[in-house]
Amino acid sequence: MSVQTLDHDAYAALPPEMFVIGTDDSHAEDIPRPSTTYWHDVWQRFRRDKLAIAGLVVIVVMTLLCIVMPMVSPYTYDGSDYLNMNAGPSLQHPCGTDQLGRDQFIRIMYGARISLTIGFVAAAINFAIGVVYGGLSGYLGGRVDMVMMRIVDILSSLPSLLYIVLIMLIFGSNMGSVILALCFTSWIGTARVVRSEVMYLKHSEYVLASRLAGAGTWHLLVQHLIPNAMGPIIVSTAFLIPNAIFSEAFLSFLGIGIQAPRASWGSLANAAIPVMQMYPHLMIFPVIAICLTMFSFNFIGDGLRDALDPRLKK
Amino acid sequence: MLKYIIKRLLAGALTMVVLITVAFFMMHAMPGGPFSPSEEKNVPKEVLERIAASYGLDQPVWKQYLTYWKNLLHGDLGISYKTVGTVREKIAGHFPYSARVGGLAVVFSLLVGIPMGLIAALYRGKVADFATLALATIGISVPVFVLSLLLSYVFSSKLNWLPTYGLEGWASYILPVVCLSFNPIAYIARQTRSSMLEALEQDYIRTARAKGVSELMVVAKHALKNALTPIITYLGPLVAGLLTGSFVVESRFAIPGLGYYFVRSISDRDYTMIMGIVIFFGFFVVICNLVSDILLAIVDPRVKLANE
Repeated sequence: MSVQTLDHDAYAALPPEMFVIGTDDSHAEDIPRPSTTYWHDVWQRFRRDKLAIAGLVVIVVMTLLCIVMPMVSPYTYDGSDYLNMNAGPSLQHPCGTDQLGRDQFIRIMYGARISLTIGFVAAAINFAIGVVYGGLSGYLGGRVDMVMMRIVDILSSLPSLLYIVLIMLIFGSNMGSVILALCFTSWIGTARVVRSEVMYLKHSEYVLASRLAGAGTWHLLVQHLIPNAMGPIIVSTAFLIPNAIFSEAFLSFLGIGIQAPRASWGSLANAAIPVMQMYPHLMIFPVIAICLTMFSFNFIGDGLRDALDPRLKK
Repeated sequence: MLKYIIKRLLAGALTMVVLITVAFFMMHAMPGGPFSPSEEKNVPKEVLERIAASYGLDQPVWKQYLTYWKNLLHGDLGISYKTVGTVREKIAGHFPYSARVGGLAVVFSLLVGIPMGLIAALYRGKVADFATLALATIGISVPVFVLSLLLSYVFSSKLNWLPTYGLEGWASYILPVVCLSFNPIAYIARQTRSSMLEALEQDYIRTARAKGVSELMVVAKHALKNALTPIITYLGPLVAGLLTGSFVVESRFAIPGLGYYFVRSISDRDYTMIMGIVIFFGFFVVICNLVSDILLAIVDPRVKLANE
């Protein structure tokens, strides 16, 4: 006796309008939708987060403004308008002027240049150090990993105010030393994230296969481990930017960051304290600038976290 | 457990040695000094040199470093160069102010942050949840110096409800404590909310509910206990950071605490004060981290196993 199988020939004699459902396999290999890449998928998820998009728009607009405005504006950060000192907001000076008649709007724009530069540069440096340090520590493992992690533990228990203030005093108050002070230990968070991701990924089969094919340490790290750990790394870097901007504003607020006549948001807010009662506009606009930027970057960070790692979304 | 504690204590001691060494040499690398002629213009140069020599400041830095260690191991932190009294007395005099404000801020942030996160998690997607998330985002985004300016402007200058400065009476504690705990509240609420949501999805919660345990007990005993472990890890740095004083809040509200005197001693180049406060800070951080790690090992046995 024969096992009944679906034999196309057995139905050949049927009239053409009768056919057996489920026997047509001519389209089995077709892909109905174009395949999406990981980053395309991430963008699709990120795009749906309204707050993150709003944050992105604010940052892009602010970046463009702070690049373009000082070029086209008739005012400079240290030029005085002696006829309008301590003036409130007007058409001529949208954010008013300070006690020396300097245009507050353009000073805030120069402050934005400083804050955004420090934010992006500090994040980039922290990213680079964190990825290399964490990647090596996680990949090499064993005793090297232990020593590298102890060093990180010790560095992270130093009081941050101490070394930041000392670095500022030793290297002088300028943008370079602010960045140096901020990069001294803030890469540690990124390094820890990279290390744990690399330790998790290094036992995967594709890494083993690559190693069997003769790939060296560097190739494995750069080609396989780091790209696959990119999601968490980007998230931790995204939160470094608002931290750096906040720290710069804080240092300038203390009077050891960016020095007069140059303007930073922190030093603008600090300069406005004594005259806060009489000329609140000198305080309000820099504070709005700081808060708006911090909100935007935090929203972008939250959006990126949800988009890059949907498991974390709560 | 004992082995774990000893291991952590040794690591803490090593941290202190590195901290003292780094701080000492960085401090001496700062331009100027406690008795530099460029700053003390009213005192003749010869007199300044004699004063500096009497403190041993004419010696090479490595020699001063060894002397400092010798004194330190005898429990001697030296005398302040720029103020009256020994460093030990100064720290003992100013620390209580910082500790009182900071301690209240720790208690306040836990009492507000945990219930906020809990309510947000239990009423997920409702108004309370959005309100918590909004407040948490504000707490993380608004810098403490901005907050202290705004609050003192509104409540002290405009409304005249609360005192602007000093620490007299309970009302003067409100603004500094609120400023200090704003950011921790945001962090604790967010963390409690997300770990609570995670805990509520676990199998043992379903088991507990299936057994007929009341919802209150499910939340209080099973979910919350496990959701609080990340808070314990955060508690160590938080206590250390708040109790040792914040420069911004202390200078804004004129509180004579350690945070304020630390920055002042740096600008005064008061070497012995700087080192004394650094050692005190470092010691505090190490101890707080150790205590929170031990607490964590007690609450979560998996941590203990991983460390042994």
